Amino acid sequence: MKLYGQIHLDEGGMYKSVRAMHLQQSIIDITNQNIVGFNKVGYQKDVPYVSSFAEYVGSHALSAQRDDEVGRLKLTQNPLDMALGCKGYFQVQTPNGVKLTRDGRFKLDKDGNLLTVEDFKVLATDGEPLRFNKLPRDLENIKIDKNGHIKVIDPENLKIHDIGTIAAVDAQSSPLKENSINQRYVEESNVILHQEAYSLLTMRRNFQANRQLFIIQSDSLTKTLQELGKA
Amino acid sequence: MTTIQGSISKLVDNSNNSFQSLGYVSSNMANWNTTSYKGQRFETFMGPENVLSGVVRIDTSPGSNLATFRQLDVALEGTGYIPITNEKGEILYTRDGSFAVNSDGYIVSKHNALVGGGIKLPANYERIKISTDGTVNIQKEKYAPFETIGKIPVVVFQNPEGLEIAEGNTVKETEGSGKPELLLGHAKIRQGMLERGNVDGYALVNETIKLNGSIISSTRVIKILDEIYKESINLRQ
Repeated sequence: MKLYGQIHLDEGGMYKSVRAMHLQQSIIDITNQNIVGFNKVGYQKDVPYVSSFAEYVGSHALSAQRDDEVGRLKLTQNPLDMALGCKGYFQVQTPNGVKLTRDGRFKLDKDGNLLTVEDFKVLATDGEPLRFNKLPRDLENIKIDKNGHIKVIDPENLKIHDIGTIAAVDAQSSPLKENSINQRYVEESNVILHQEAYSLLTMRRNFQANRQLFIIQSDSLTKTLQELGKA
Repeated sequence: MTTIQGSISKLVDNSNNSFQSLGYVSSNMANWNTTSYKGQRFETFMGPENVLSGVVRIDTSPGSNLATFRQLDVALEGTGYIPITNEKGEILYTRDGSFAVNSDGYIVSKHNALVGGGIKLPANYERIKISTDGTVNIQKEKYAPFETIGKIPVVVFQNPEGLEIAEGNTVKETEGSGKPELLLGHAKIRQGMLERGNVDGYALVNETIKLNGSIISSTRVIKILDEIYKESINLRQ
Protein backbone atom coordinates (compact mmCIF):
# COMPACT_ATOMS: atom_id res chain seq x y z
CA MET A 1 0.00 0.00 0.00
CA LYS A 2 1.28 3.43 -0.85
CA LEU A 3 0.09 6.44 1.08
CA TYR A 4 0.74 9.97 -0.26
CA GLY A 5 3.44 8.48 -2.39
CA GLN A 6 5.68 8.50 0.67
CA ILE A 7 4.91 5.78 3.16
CA HIS A 8 5.43 2.20 2.11
CA LEU A 9 3.48 -0.49 3.84
CA ASP A 10 4.29 -4.05 3.02
CA GLU A 11 1.15 -6.08 3.38
CA GLY A 12 2.84 -9.20 1.98
CA GLY A 13 3.55 -10.26 5.53
CA MET A 14 -0.13 -10.51 6.29
CA TYR A 15 -0.73 -12.64 3.22
CA LYS A 16 2.14 -14.88 4.22
CA SER A 17 0.64 -15.41 7.66
CA VAL A 18 -2.75 -16.27 6.21
CA ARG A 19 -1.11 -18.64 3.75
CA ALA A 20 0.84 -20.32 6.51
CA MET A 21 -2.37 -20.86 8.43
CA HIS A 22 -3.93 -22.46 5.37
CA LEU A 23 -0.88 -24.68 5.01
CA GLN A 24 -1.09 -25.89 8.60
CA GLN A 25 -4.73 -26.68 8.08
CA SER A 26 -3.94 -28.76 5.00
CA ILE A 27 -1.22 -30.63 6.89
CA ILE A 28 -3.68 -31.35 9.67
CA ASP A 29 -5.97 -32.77 7.02
CA ILE A 30 -3.31 -35.30 5.99
CA THR A 31 -2.73 -36.28 9.63
CA ASN A 32 -6.47 -36.51 10.02
CA GLN A 33 -6.62 -38.95 7.08
CA ASN A 34 -3.92 -41.07 8.70
CA ILE A 35 -5.81 -41.19 11.99
CA VAL A 36 -8.94 -42.27 10.14
CA GLY A 37 -6.89 -44.98 8.41
CA PHE A 38 -5.24 -46.19 11.60
CA ASN A 39 -7.30 -49.33 12.05
CA LYS A 40 -7.97 -50.01 8.38
CA VAL A 41 -6.43 -53.12 6.91
CA GLY A 42 -3.71 -52.39 4.35
CA TYR A 43 -3.80 -48.60 4.78
CA GLN A 44 -0.56 -46.81 4.01
CA LYS A 45 0.05 -43.49 5.67
CA ASP A 46 0.66 -40.23 3.84
CA VAL A 47 3.60 -38.12 4.93
CA PRO A 48 3.23 -34.38 4.30
CA TYR A 49 6.19 -32.65 2.62
CA VAL A 50 6.43 -28.89 2.47
CA SER A 51 8.68 -27.52 -0.22
CA SER A 52 10.78 -24.46 0.51
CA PHE A 53 10.09 -23.09 -2.95
CA ALA A 54 6.64 -21.96 -1.98
CA GLU A 55 6.94 -18.80 -4.05
CA TYR A 56 7.34 -20.76 -7.24
CA VAL A 57 5.08 -23.77 -6.95
CA GLY A 58 1.89 -22.22 -5.76
CA SER A 59 0.32 -21.16 -2.53
CA HIS A 60 0.82 -24.34 -0.58
CA ALA A 61 3.88 -26.15 -1.88
CA LEU A 62 2.52 -29.08 0.06
CA SER A 63 2.69 -32.60 -1.21
CA ALA A 64 1.83 -35.89 0.42
CA GLN A 65 3.98 -38.90 -0.18
CA ARG A 66 2.77 -42.40 0.48
CA ASP A 67 4.83 -44.29 3.02
CA ASP A 68 5.14 -47.82 1.62
CA GLU A 69 6.66 -49.42 4.70
CA VAL A 70 5.07 -52.75 5.62
CA GLY A 71 2.50 -52.39 8.41
CA ARG A 72 1.84 -54.65 11.35
CA LEU A 73 0.89 -58.23 10.46
CA LYS A 74 -1.97 -59.65 12.49
CA LEU A 75 -2.81 -63.34 12.79
CA THR A 76 -6.48 -63.96 11.98
CA GLN A 77 -6.49 -67.72 11.28
CA ASN A 78 -8.80 -67.19 8.31
CA PRO A 79 -7.38 -69.34 5.47
CA LEU A 80 -8.36 -66.74 2.88
CA ASP A 81 -6.66 -63.80 4.60
CA MET A 82 -3.37 -62.87 2.99
CA ALA A 83 -0.83 -60.27 4.01
CA LEU A 84 2.09 -59.02 1.95
CA GLY A 85 5.20 -59.17 4.09
CA CYS A 86 7.10 -57.13 1.51
CA LYS A 87 6.46 -53.96 -0.47
CA GLY A 88 3.92 -54.52 -3.22
CA TYR A 89 0.25 -54.79 -3.99
CA PHE A 90 -2.49 -57.22 -4.97
CA GLN A 91 -4.38 -56.46 -8.19
CA VAL A 92 -8.16 -56.25 -8.15
CA GLN A 93 -10.66 -55.79 -10.96
CA THR A 94 -12.93 -52.83 -10.20
CA PRO A 95 -15.60 -51.27 -12.43
CA ASN A 96 -13.04 -48.50 -13.09
CA GLY A 97 -10.26 -50.83 -14.21
CA VAL A 98 -7.51 -52.67 -12.41
CA LYS A 99 -6.58 -51.21 -9.03
CA LEU A 100 -3.89 -52.01 -6.50
CA THR A 101 -4.53 -52.82 -2.88
CA ARG A 102 -2.70 -54.25 0.10
CA ASP A 103 -5.94 -55.30 1.74
CA GLY A 104 -5.80 -59.10 1.68
CA ARG A 105 -9.13 -59.94 3.32
CA PHE A 106 -10.50 -62.22 0.63
CA LYS A 107 -13.56 -64.43 0.40
CA LEU A 108 -15.09 -66.91 -2.00
CA ASP A 109 -18.49 -66.57 -3.60
CA LYS A 110 -20.62 -69.53 -4.57
CA ASP A 111 -19.15 -69.62 -8.08
CA GLY A 112 -15.61 -69.89 -6.77
CA ASN A 113 -14.45 -66.35 -7.50
CA LEU A 114 -11.95 -64.87 -5.07
CA LEU A 115 -13.35 -61.49 -3.94
CA THR A 116 -12.20 -58.61 -1.77
CA VAL A 117 -14.39 -57.23 1.01
CA GLU A 118 -15.71 -54.71 -1.51
CA ASP A 119 -16.73 -57.61 -3.83
CA PHE A 120 -14.06 -56.90 -6.46
CA LYS A 121 -12.44 -59.85 -8.22
CA VAL A 122 -8.82 -60.58 -7.39
CA LEU A 123 -6.47 -61.07 -10.34
CA ALA A 124 -4.08 -63.98 -10.87
CA THR A 125 -0.62 -63.68 -12.44
CA ASP A 126 -2.07 -64.23 -15.94
CA GLY A 127 -4.15 -61.05 -15.57
CA GLU A 128 -7.45 -62.93 -15.38
CA PRO A 129 -9.68 -62.99 -12.26
CA LEU A 130 -8.70 -65.82 -9.95
CA ARG A 131 -11.31 -68.55 -9.92
CA PHE A 132 -11.42 -71.75 -7.88
CA ASN A 133 -12.39 -74.46 -10.36
CA LYS A 134 -12.46 -76.85 -7.42
CA LEU A 135 -14.32 -75.45 -4.43
CA PRO A 136 -13.05 -76.81 -1.14
CA ARG A 137 -15.55 -78.33 1.27
CA ASP A 138 -13.66 -76.71 4.08
CA LEU A 139 -11.62 -73.51 3.79
CA GLU A 140 -8.97 -75.19 5.94
CA ASN A 141 -8.00 -77.24 2.88
CA ILE A 142 -6.69 -74.18 1.06
CA LYS A 143 -2.93 -73.78 1.17
CA ILE A 144 -1.13 -70.70 -0.08
CA ASP A 145 2.64 -70.57 -0.25
CA LYS A 146 5.01 -67.60 0.00
CA ASN A 147 4.76 -66.91 -3.73
CA GLY A 148 0.98 -66.79 -3.67
CA HIS A 149 0.49 -70.17 -5.31
CA ILE A 150 -2.91 -71.50 -4.24
CA LYS A 151 -3.64 -75.19 -3.85
CA VAL A 152 -6.72 -77.01 -2.64
CA ILE A 153 -6.23 -80.36 -0.97
CA ASP A 154 -9.06 -82.82 -1.29
CA PRO A 155 -8.98 -84.82 1.97
CA GLU A 156 -11.13 -87.61 0.53
CA ASN A 157 -8.71 -88.81 -2.10
CA LEU A 158 -5.68 -86.75 -1.02
CA LYS A 159 -5.44 -85.07 -4.40
CA ILE A 160 -3.97 -81.61 -4.77
CA HIS A 161 -5.73 -79.23 -7.13
CA ASP A 162 -3.78 -76.29 -8.52
CA ILE A 163 -5.89 -73.16 -8.53
CA GLY A 164 -3.46 -70.49 -9.68
CA THR A 165 -1.12 -67.85 -8.41
CA ILE A 166 -2.32 -64.60 -6.96
CA ALA A 167 -0.72 -61.55 -8.57
CA ALA A 168 1.60 -59.46 -6.42
CA VAL A 169 2.97 -56.42 -8.20
CA ASP A 170 4.89 -53.26 -7.40
CA ALA A 171 3.52 -49.73 -7.75
CA GLN A 172 4.27 -49.80 -11.50
CA SER A 173 2.19 -53.00 -11.93
CA SER A 174 5.18 -55.17 -12.81
CA PRO A 175 5.43 -58.51 -11.00
CA LEU A 176 7.48 -58.66 -7.82
CA LYS A 177 10.76 -60.54 -7.97
CA GLU A 178 10.54 -61.72 -4.41
CA ASN A 179 7.21 -62.41 -2.83
CA SER A 180 6.32 -62.88 0.76
CA ILE A 181 2.63 -63.69 0.99
CA ASN A 182 1.51 -64.79 4.41
CA GLN A 183 -1.62 -66.88 4.60
CA ARG A 184 -3.91 -66.44 7.64
CA TYR A 185 -2.60 -62.95 8.32
CA VAL A 186 -3.87 -59.48 7.53
CA GLU A 187 -1.71 -56.42 7.35
CA GLU A 188 -2.83 -53.55 9.51
CA SER A 189 -1.98 -49.95 8.66
CA ASN A 190 1.53 -48.59 9.10
CA VAL A 191 0.24 -45.54 10.98
CA ILE A 192 1.86 -44.87 14.35
CA LEU A 193 -0.92 -43.23 16.30
CA HIS A 194 1.12 -41.40 18.93
CA GLN A 195 3.43 -39.99 16.26
CA GLU A 196 0.44 -38.50 14.48
CA ALA A 197 -0.80 -37.07 17.77
CA TYR A 198 2.59 -35.43 18.47
CA SER A 199 2.81 -33.97 14.99
CA LEU A 200 -0.60 -32.39 15.54
CA LEU A 201 0.84 -30.39 18.44
CA THR A 202 3.48 -28.62 16.34
CA MET A 203 0.94 -27.84 13.63
CA ARG A 204 -1.39 -26.45 16.25
CA ARG A 205 1.32 -24.14 17.64
CA ASN A 206 2.46 -23.15 14.18
CA PHE A 207 -1.07 -22.12 13.36
CA GLN A 208 -1.30 -20.09 16.56
CA ALA A 209 2.05 -18.39 15.93
CA ASN A 210 0.98 -17.34 12.46
CA ARG A 211 -2.34 -16.13 13.76
CA GLN A 212 -0.54 -14.06 16.39
CA LEU A 213 1.74 -12.58 13.73
CA PHE A 214 -1.25 -11.70 11.60
CA ILE A 215 -2.91 -9.95 14.54
CA ILE A 216 0.28 -7.98 15.33
CA GLN A 217 0.58 -6.83 11.73
CA SER A 218 -3.10 -6.04 11.57
CA ASP A 219 -2.83 -4.02 14.78
CA SER A 220 0.15 -2.05 13.58
CA LEU A 221 -1.62 -1.31 10.31
CA THR A 222 -4.64 -0.07 12.24
CA LYS A 223 -2.39 2.12 14.42
CA THR A 224 -0.61 3.57 11.43
CA LEU A 225 -3.87 4.48 9.78
CA GLN A 226 -5.18 6.04 12.96
CA GLU A 227 -2.03 8.11 13.51
CA LEU A 228 -2.10 9.26 9.92
CA GLY A 229 -5.71 10.25 10.27
CA LYS A 230 -4.86 12.51 13.23
CA ALA A 231 -2.28 14.50 11.36
CA MET B 1 -8.92 -27.95 -1.46
CA THR B 2 -9.88 -29.39 1.85
CA THR B 3 -11.96 -27.47 4.30
CA ILE B 4 -12.19 -27.69 8.08
CA GLN B 5 -15.76 -28.87 7.64
CA GLY B 6 -14.61 -31.67 5.37
CA SER B 7 -11.97 -32.78 7.84
CA ILE B 8 -14.44 -32.78 10.70
CA SER B 9 -17.00 -34.81 8.79
CA LYS B 10 -14.33 -37.42 7.91
CA LEU B 11 -13.42 -37.77 11.57
CA VAL B 12 -17.05 -38.05 12.61
CA ASP B 13 -17.40 -40.75 9.96
CA ASN B 14 -14.43 -42.61 11.44
CA SER B 15 -15.82 -42.37 14.96
CA ASN B 16 -19.18 -43.69 13.81
CA ASN B 17 -17.55 -46.60 12.00
CA SER B 18 -15.41 -47.41 15.03
CA PHE B 19 -18.49 -47.31 17.24
CA GLN B 20 -20.21 -49.73 14.90
CA SER B 21 -17.18 -52.04 15.03
CA LEU B 22 -17.27 -51.80 18.82
CA GLY B 23 -20.91 -52.87 18.67
CA TYR B 24 -19.97 -56.06 16.84
CA VAL B 25 -17.05 -56.63 19.22
CA SER B 26 -19.42 -56.40 22.18
CA SER B 27 -21.95 -58.72 20.56
CA ASN B 28 -19.16 -61.24 19.99
CA MET B 29 -18.04 -60.83 23.59
CA ALA B 30 -21.62 -61.34 24.82
CA ASN B 31 -21.84 -64.57 22.81
CA TRP B 32 -18.52 -65.98 23.97
CA ASN B 33 -20.36 -68.82 25.69
CA THR B 34 -23.17 -69.25 23.16
CA THR B 35 -23.21 -72.73 21.68
CA SER B 36 -21.90 -72.84 18.10
CA TYR B 37 -21.84 -69.01 17.83
CA LYS B 38 -19.96 -67.73 14.79
CA GLY B 39 -18.03 -64.53 15.33
CA GLN B 40 -18.99 -61.49 13.30
CA ARG B 41 -16.57 -58.83 12.20
CA PHE B 42 -17.31 -55.37 10.91
CA GLU B 43 -14.62 -54.97 8.27
CA THR B 44 -13.99 -51.36 7.38
CA PHE B 45 -12.30 -50.21 4.21
CA MET B 46 -11.61 -46.97 2.39
CA GLY B 47 -14.24 -46.73 -0.28
CA PRO B 48 -14.02 -44.53 -3.35
CA GLU B 49 -13.00 -40.90 -2.65
CA ASN B 50 -11.62 -41.91 0.74
CA VAL B 51 -15.04 -42.41 2.26
CA LEU B 52 -15.10 -45.04 4.95
CA SER B 53 -17.50 -47.89 4.65
CA GLY B 54 -17.78 -51.38 6.04
CA VAL B 55 -19.28 -54.81 5.59
CA VAL B 56 -20.15 -57.52 8.09
CA ARG B 57 -18.28 -60.77 7.70
CA ILE B 58 -18.95 -64.02 9.48
CA ASP B 59 -16.07 -66.12 10.70
CA THR B 60 -17.24 -69.61 9.76
CA SER B 61 -14.35 -71.51 11.31
CA PRO B 62 -15.41 -74.31 13.68
CA GLY B 63 -15.27 -73.86 17.44
CA SER B 64 -13.89 -76.38 19.88
CA ASN B 65 -16.05 -79.23 21.12
CA LEU B 66 -17.19 -79.45 24.71
CA ALA B 67 -18.14 -82.84 26.13
CA THR B 68 -21.51 -82.70 27.90
CA PHE B 69 -22.38 -86.44 27.86
CA ARG B 70 -26.02 -85.55 27.28
CA GLN B 71 -27.65 -88.06 24.92
CA LEU B 72 -29.33 -85.48 22.72
CA ASP B 73 -26.40 -83.08 22.40
CA VAL B 74 -24.64 -83.27 19.07
CA ALA B 75 -21.72 -81.31 17.72
CA LEU B 76 -20.75 -80.94 14.07
CA GLU B 77 -17.14 -81.55 13.20
CA GLY B 78 -15.89 -79.28 10.41
CA THR B 79 -18.24 -77.47 8.06
CA GLY B 80 -21.95 -78.08 7.62
CA TYR B 81 -25.34 -77.25 9.08
CA ILE B 82 -28.29 -79.21 10.43
CA PRO B 83 -31.60 -78.21 8.75
CA ILE B 84 -34.49 -77.57 11.13
CA THR B 85 -38.16 -76.79 10.42
CA ASN B 86 -39.62 -74.12 12.66
CA GLU B 87 -43.25 -73.73 13.75
CA LYS B 88 -44.04 -71.55 10.71
CA GLY B 89 -42.79 -74.29 8.40
CA GLU B 90 -39.64 -72.40 7.33
CA ILE B 91 -36.43 -74.34 6.89
CA LEU B 92 -33.54 -72.86 8.83
CA TYR B 93 -30.04 -74.17 9.40
CA THR B 94 -28.19 -74.41 12.68
CA ARG B 95 -25.02 -75.79 14.19
CA ASP B 96 -26.43 -75.61 17.69
CA GLY B 97 -26.98 -79.27 18.52
CA SER B 98 -28.44 -78.95 22.01
CA PHE B 99 -31.59 -80.83 21.10
CA ALA B 100 -34.54 -81.85 23.26
CA VAL B 101 -37.77 -83.76 22.88
CA ASN B 102 -41.12 -81.97 22.61
CA SER B 103 -44.50 -83.11 23.92
CA ASP B 104 -45.22 -85.08 20.73
CA GLY B 105 -41.98 -87.04 21.06
CA TYR B 106 -40.13 -85.29 18.22
CA ILE B 107 -36.51 -84.22 18.49
CA VAL B 108 -36.52 -80.41 18.47
CA SER B 109 -33.97 -77.63 18.69
CA LYS B 110 -33.85 -75.14 21.56
CA HIS B 111 -36.44 -72.95 19.85
CA ASN B 112 -38.89 -75.79 19.32
CA ALA B 113 -38.06 -76.39 15.64
CA LEU B 114 -38.16 -79.94 14.31
CA VAL B 115 -34.78 -81.42 13.48
CA GLY B 116 -34.71 -82.41 9.82
CA GLY B 117 -38.16 -83.49 8.68
CA GLY B 118 -39.02 -84.68 12.19
CA ILE B 119 -37.60 -87.66 14.07
CA LYS B 120 -40.09 -89.24 16.46
CA LEU B 121 -38.91 -90.99 19.59
CA PRO B 122 -41.08 -93.57 21.33
CA ALA B 123 -42.16 -92.67 24.85
CA ASN B 124 -40.32 -95.55 26.38
CA TYR B 125 -36.69 -96.29 25.57
CA GLU B 126 -33.52 -97.17 27.34
CA ARG B 127 -30.80 -95.43 25.38
CA ILE B 128 -30.28 -93.28 22.30
CA LYS B 129 -27.24 -93.71 20.13
CA ILE B 130 -26.47 -91.19 17.41
CA SER B 131 -23.78 -92.47 15.09
CA THR B 132 -21.24 -90.24 13.36
CA ASP B 133 -23.30 -90.04 10.14
CA GLY B 134 -26.35 -88.79 12.07
CA THR B 135 -28.36 -92.03 12.24
CA VAL B 136 -30.48 -92.07 15.41
CA ASN B 137 -30.74 -95.52 16.99
CA ILE B 138 -32.67 -96.43 20.09
CA GLN B 139 -32.56 -99.36 22.41
CA LYS B 140 -36.02 -100.18 23.77
CA GLU B 141 -34.78 -102.13 26.76
CA LYS B 142 -31.51 -103.33 28.13
CA TYR B 143 -29.64 -105.87 25.97
CA ALA B 144 -32.15 -105.41 23.13
CA PRO B 145 -30.70 -104.66 19.71
CA PHE B 146 -30.61 -101.06 18.49
CA GLU B 147 -33.32 -99.93 16.09
CA THR B 148 -32.88 -97.12 13.59
CA ILE B 149 -35.64 -94.49 13.83
CA GLY B 150 -34.31 -91.65 11.71
CA LYS B 151 -31.35 -89.64 10.62
CA ILE B 152 -30.18 -86.15 11.49
CA PRO B 153 -29.42 -84.61 8.10
CA VAL B 154 -26.33 -82.50 7.47
CA VAL B 155 -26.07 -80.02 4.59
CA VAL B 156 -23.20 -77.94 3.30
CA PHE B 157 -23.23 -74.68 1.34
CA GLN B 158 -20.85 -73.56 -1.39
CA ASN B 159 -20.38 -70.22 0.32
CA PRO B 160 -21.27 -70.34 4.05
CA GLU B 161 -20.21 -66.68 4.42
CA GLY B 162 -23.18 -65.70 2.26
CA LEU B 163 -25.74 -67.13 4.71
CA GLU B 164 -28.03 -64.71 6.47
CA ILE B 165 -28.09 -64.77 10.25
CA ALA B 166 -31.60 -65.44 11.54
CA GLU B 167 -33.04 -65.50 15.03
CA GLY B 168 -32.17 -68.05 17.66
CA ASN B 169 -28.72 -69.16 16.58
CA THR B 170 -29.82 -70.16 13.09
CA VAL B 171 -28.95 -69.10 9.55
CA LYS B 172 -31.05 -68.73 6.41
CA GLU B 173 -30.24 -69.67 2.86
CA THR B 174 -29.67 -66.70 0.53
CA GLU B 175 -28.83 -66.21 -3.12
CA GLY B 176 -25.17 -65.64 -2.27
CA SER B 177 -24.80 -68.81 -0.24
CA GLY B 178 -25.80 -71.23 -2.98
CA LYS B 179 -28.19 -74.16 -2.59
CA PRO B 180 -27.85 -76.53 0.35
CA GLU B 181 -26.27 -79.83 -0.59
CA LEU B 182 -27.22 -82.89 1.49
CA LEU B 183 -24.25 -84.90 2.68
CA LEU B 184 -24.78 -88.62 2.46
CA GLY B 185 -21.65 -90.40 3.56
CA HIS B 186 -19.93 -88.43 6.27
CA ALA B 187 -18.71 -88.75 9.82
CA LYS B 188 -19.30 -85.26 11.13
CA ILE B 189 -21.65 -85.82 14.05
CA ARG B 190 -20.42 -86.27 17.60
CA GLN B 191 -22.95 -87.34 20.19
CA GLY B 192 -22.68 -86.02 23.75
CA MET B 193 -20.77 -82.94 22.70
CA LEU B 194 -21.55 -79.31 21.95
CA GLU B 195 -19.64 -76.93 19.76
CA ARG B 196 -18.49 -73.84 21.57
CA GLY B 197 -18.47 -70.39 20.00
CA ASN B 198 -15.43 -69.60 17.86
CA VAL B 199 -14.89 -66.19 19.45
CA ASP B 200 -11.40 -65.36 20.66
CA GLY B 201 -11.90 -63.17 23.72
CA TYR B 202 -8.29 -62.05 23.91
CA ALA B 203 -8.28 -60.87 20.29
CA LEU B 204 -11.44 -58.90 21.08
CA VAL B 205 -9.70 -57.08 23.94
CA ASN B 206 -6.92 -56.09 21.56
CA GLU B 207 -9.53 -54.94 19.04
CA THR B 208 -11.29 -52.84 21.68
CA ILE B 209 -8.05 -51.09 22.65
CA LYS B 210 -7.33 -50.21 19.02
CA LEU B 211 -10.85 -48.94 18.33
CA ASN B 212 -10.75 -46.92 21.52
CA GLY B 213 -7.45 -45.33 20.48
CA SER B 214 -8.89 -44.50 17.09
CA ILE B 215 -12.01 -42.88 18.53
CA ILE B 216 -10.05 -40.89 21.10
CA SER B 217 -7.61 -39.52 18.54
CA SER B 218 -10.46 -38.67 16.16
CA THR B 219 -12.30 -36.68 18.79
CA ARG B 220 -9.03 -35.02 19.80
CA VAL B 221 -8.42 -33.84 16.22
CA ILE B 222 -12.00 -32.59 16.05
CA LYS B 223 -11.27 -30.49 19.14
CA ILE B 224 -8.11 -29.03 17.60
CA LEU B 225 -9.91 -28.29 14.33
CA ASP B 226 -12.70 -26.65 16.29
CA GLU B 227 -10.17 -24.38 18.02
CA ILE B 228 -8.63 -23.48 14.68
CA TYR B 229 -12.07 -22.73 13.36
CA LYS B 230 -12.79 -20.43 16.29
CA GLU B 231 -9.44 -18.68 15.95
CA SER B 232 -9.88 -18.20 12.21
CA ILE B 233 -13.30 -16.63 12.70
CA ASN B 234 -11.93 -14.35 15.43
CA LEU B 235 -8.87 -13.33 13.44
CA ARG B 236 -9.73 -9.66 13.87
CA GLN B 237 -8.98 -9.38 17.56
